[in-house]
Amino acid sequence: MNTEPIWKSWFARHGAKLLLFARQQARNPHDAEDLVQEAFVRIWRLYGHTGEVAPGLVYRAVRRLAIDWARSLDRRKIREQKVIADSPLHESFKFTIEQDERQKSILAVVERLPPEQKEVLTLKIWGELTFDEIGRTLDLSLNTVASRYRYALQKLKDWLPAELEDSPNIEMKVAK
Amino acid sequence: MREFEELEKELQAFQPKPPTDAFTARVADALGDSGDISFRRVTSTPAVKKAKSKKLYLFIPPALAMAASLVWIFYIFPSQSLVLPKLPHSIIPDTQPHSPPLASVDEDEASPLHGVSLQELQAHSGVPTNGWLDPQVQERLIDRVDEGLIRRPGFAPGRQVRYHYIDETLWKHPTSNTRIISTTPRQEVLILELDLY
Repeated sequence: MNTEPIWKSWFARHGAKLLLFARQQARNPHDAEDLVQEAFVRIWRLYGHTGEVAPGLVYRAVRRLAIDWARSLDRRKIREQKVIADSPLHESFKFTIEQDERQKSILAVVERLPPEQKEVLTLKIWGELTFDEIGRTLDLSLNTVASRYRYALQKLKDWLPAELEDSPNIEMKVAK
Repeated sequence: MREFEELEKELQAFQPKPPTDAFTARVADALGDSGDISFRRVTSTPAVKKAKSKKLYLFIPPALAMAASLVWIFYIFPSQSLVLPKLPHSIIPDTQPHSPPLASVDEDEASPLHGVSLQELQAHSGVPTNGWLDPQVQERLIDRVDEGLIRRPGFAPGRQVRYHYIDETLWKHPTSNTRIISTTPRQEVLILELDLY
């Protein structure tokens, strides 16, 4: 019988989702990792002794840290970082050969969404949070979260056919 | 939102990349001792145990049936008529009251556990009971959150600031090179009074 620290299994379960969310809050992948590390360590030190930590707490800490960091950066640094920023969203996902092109196209459409809709979509679809948890994470009302999610899906549905038409060799399978 | 169901399913099928090993190792370093507070047991053969417990259920109905038939046999036939031979006099249990038990529990007053001496405690736990240095207590400030202005009936308004601390107690046993660390989270709320002009 072996033992392993609980944080490792927790991190294996939620780390990928947290990094994805942090990628949208940060300017580059390195900052995203720093954000997740800082937020996770802070929360785990406070509540890790209980053996389980609600993921919503860490998402919320990531967002608050991202806001603090953005405020503390001076304009010059922001300008410099913009150059290396904007690595495409599809780089944050695993790929299989057969769905490669289609997945890239869909994620390209997701990337075009307004940031406030994209973060709600990310937390709902890949973070697997409820609307209530998303509301608490982003300091928004339940109605706002639900409507942003709906708008995001509607835009995806509207924009996807054109995006897929532009990419040859992709089967047209858009939800009707 | 049924019209989006297919789209949601397709999006959910995309798997975000897991954190790299290097990043996980970095988090482990940053967590330090706090990461080792809680553990879970990892069993190597959980499936085998489940199979065994399922097999047990198969034996329950025949066992119940046998027990029921035995009860019926003893009820219908009186015990005298059974083929059981009479017990010899020597092994018939005596009806004398039992004498007090020969072994009594030695009480070690220094031990924190009833009925377990310090020596036994040390042998079973593997942790020495003597030779510990005085515990070192350390208070670490983790976070300071300004929660803004608050109104207090009958008093001047104040600014509420919440401090998150970790209280760490370290016990050291130099002879066996053993360390025990206990970390406890703690919050303190400070209200700074504001002057009104």
